[in-house]
Amino acid sequence: MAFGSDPTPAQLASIDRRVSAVMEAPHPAARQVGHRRRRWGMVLLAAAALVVLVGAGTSLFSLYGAIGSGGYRVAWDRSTKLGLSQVHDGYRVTLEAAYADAAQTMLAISIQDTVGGRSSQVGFYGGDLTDEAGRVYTTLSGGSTPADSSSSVNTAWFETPGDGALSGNHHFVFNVPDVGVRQVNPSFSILPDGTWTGDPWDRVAGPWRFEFDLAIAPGTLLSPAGAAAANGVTATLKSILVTPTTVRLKMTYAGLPDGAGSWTAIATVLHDGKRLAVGSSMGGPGAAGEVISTVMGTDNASGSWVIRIDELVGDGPQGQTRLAGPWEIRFVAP
Amino acid sequence: MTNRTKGTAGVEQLEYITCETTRSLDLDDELALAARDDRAAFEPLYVRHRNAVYRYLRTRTTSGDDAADLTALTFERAFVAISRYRPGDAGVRAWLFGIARNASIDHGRRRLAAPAPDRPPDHDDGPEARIVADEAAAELRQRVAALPTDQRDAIVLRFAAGLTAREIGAVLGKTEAASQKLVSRGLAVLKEAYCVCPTGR
Repeated sequence: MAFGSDPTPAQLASIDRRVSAVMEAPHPAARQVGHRRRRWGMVLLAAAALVVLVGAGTSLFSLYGAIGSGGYRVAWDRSTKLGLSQVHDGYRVTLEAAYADAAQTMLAISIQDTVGGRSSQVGFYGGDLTDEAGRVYTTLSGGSTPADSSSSVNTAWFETPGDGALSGNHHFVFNVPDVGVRQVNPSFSILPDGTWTGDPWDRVAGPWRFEFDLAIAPGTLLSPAGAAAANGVTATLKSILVTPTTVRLKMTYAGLPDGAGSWTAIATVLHDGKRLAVGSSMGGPGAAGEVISTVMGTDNASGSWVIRIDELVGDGPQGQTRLAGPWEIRFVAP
Repeated sequence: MTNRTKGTAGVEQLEYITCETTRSLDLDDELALAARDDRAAFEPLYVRHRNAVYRYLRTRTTSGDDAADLTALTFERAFVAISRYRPGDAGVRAWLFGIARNASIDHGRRRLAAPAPDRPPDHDDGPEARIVADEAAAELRQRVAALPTDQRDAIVLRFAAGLTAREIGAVLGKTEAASQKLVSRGLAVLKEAYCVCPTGR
């Protein structure tokens, strides 16, 4: 029997979207929608909008400098400015810039309806990125900022393949199969149980295809194999990949209780005393562990590192399970 | 043991730490203080408490959608106000639920109405069991709604939100001891209301 029951998945998604929008608002400390915890569900690339009101005629390119900080800031500042455009059915897709390091690749994509009046919003729904060797760059997340009802600035993040070992100059192909166009008068409704009927978004088919050259900045891969135990659970740091935009930790856990399908760490990462905020956690089932990523990185992996997990939160059919820590792993990289 | 791969650096020191600790309430304070300077730190705070805030607000609203709306509003306000948060005796949860309580009051519901029954979680018990669960939940809500205001608030904060007596006191503006008494008295009233009387009554 429920006394103060938990939210339904639809309600939780609604709450997440609203809070995310407030957190990602461009002032005072703007932050690009980057990684998300797996239990937030798949990223809604076009719907997780950051509302930015701009006047008509404002350059879309000029908006990118104001929509993020941390790792996004580094990626944007160091990106290769491309300015490649294609138009299909009046929709111009511009690959504005690209950045890549050993952990992740970011593309900045502007979308503009050159006809106008056909939408209440336009957004990027996803694309396929490969390099000259046929390596697939898996989509991680993205964000969309409407400039007005007919244009938006978007960023898409991809996992750079190669487990941190890839670097150097590469040739890329980026294919955008379609873009999202939100109806002028959306036809959808929310049912009493919180689910939706209808979809306010339509897809406009392309494709828009781009080819470009880009250098992948190298990262530093460490395998300290540090471990810590608390509450009957041993947390092991299998590897840590350090790049200018993110730090990616691979963790495994032993001794977890049954009942939860995935585990997320409430973690803190410190490098030489500086806190690198954790931005996402991609969990595997049980002891398979998780990949924890920070929203900022560093150019120099040398120095002291502290990985502290204060709590492990498990999600399962019976709800949340919380295990108190802390699990603390320290090491010094030369 | 360390591994070397192309482009890696060696590791000078390893430290294996074994900790047997109990849960500390300082984690929330730490997250809140970190969020004052780094807004990404607000996310774990939000994830930790969003369900509890929803559960509390669900007891103070007549629909799950209203509770979801107020939950989002609570964290929106908390995010905006995080720079002003200062660690106190009662901690982050009391601060957060104070915002939630004010949000529900602002929403215009000063008394727990008799809400529609919760939609029960999906399970295989069959329609009869679900109807029974709906009715039981409705009865409990009505009995809680019938409690005196202070007792009702204390019961809801204790059992829907999971707050301690000290935290309840901070939310309601009472001492810890007074909050404990409110919970005890509220439970006593509920127990009496649920008393199965002997036949022949």
